Amino acid sequence: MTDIKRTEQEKVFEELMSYKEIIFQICLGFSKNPWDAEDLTQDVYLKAFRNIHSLNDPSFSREWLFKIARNTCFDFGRKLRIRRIFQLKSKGETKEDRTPESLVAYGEQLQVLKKAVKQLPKKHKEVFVLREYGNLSYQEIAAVLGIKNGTVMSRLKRARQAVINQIREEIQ
Amino acid sequence: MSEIRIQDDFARVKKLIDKEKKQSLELFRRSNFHSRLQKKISPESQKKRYFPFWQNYPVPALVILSLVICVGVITLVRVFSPSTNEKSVKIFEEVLSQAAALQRIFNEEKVVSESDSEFFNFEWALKRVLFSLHRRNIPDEDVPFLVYKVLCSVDPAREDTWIFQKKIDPGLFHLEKELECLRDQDCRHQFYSQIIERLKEVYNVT
Repeated sequence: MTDIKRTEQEKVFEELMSYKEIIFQICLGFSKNPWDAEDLTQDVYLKAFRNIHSLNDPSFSREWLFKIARNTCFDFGRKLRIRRIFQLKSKGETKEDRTPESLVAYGEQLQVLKKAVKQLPKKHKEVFVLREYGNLSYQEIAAVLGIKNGTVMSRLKRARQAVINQIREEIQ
Repeated sequence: MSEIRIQDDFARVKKLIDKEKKQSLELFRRSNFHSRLQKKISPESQKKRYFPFWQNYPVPALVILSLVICVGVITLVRVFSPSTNEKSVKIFEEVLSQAAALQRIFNEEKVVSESDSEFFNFEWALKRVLFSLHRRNIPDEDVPFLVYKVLCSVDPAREDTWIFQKKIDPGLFHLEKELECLRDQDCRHQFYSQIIERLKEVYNVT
């Protein structure tokens, strides 16, 4: 690797670091809590650093980083599911443990929301998180996921509807 | 109507998401994200500076390596395996070593003319050699040239008579043609006289 190329890569990485809060928010959408989200953000940047030589066009560095974030979060979700399969008994709370009063509390509401997002199908979840947590435009989401704008819009609509239905079901 | 209700509900969900993001971002900003990342990156960046080509691109590297090995093997085989000409010379030498009469004529550097009493022996010896060469499946070679090469191997000083090789008319003395010639009386005489002429050149006899 030449010195010029290395300097260019360092510059691109510095630029990528400016998106760390967006990446963190996307990771937050995919994870349970801010601590997991921070760990995931670390993983995203570590992967970006290791693979920066494969980034041929620096003008697409933003989309490239979002793709890494999306893949890292899905990998994390897969690992969690595998871990849960090997757990003998789930320690998670049941629906009956909660009262309507407790649901008013912010923490409880957040838990319900997280559960609703988690239960979304993969293709709806990624669009929902990138839009609602990452604040990405429809065009950016389409570029990251390799789909059309119209598809992004329809998937987002379905995802929002599903989240609301799930929350309603949880509260009732 | 239900669309409006969904929008209202989602506005509340959005508020909840924004609140979560706001609180989490505060935590994130207070965290030592940079220093933690630097700790993970710095040992790798040292390694990364010397990342060799074959680790970044293993498949092209493997293809290039295979090509280099193939070219190397082919070159070695070509350099160390004897050429067809060398093989022919070896066979001719072997055949000649078994043809005592002809060998004696070569070794004594005699030039036999058709009027010579030894011509009959020379003719038969040469014929035997030619048929023997044919049986050994020697590639279509120029026999006087083989004679010349064998003489050179006996006496390296003869390499100077390389000019002899240049005088050869290609196709005139080739084995298949020579054997055809031997069936025809006139042609046979012509062939022997040409061989004798060549030998004269080799022995530098004017």
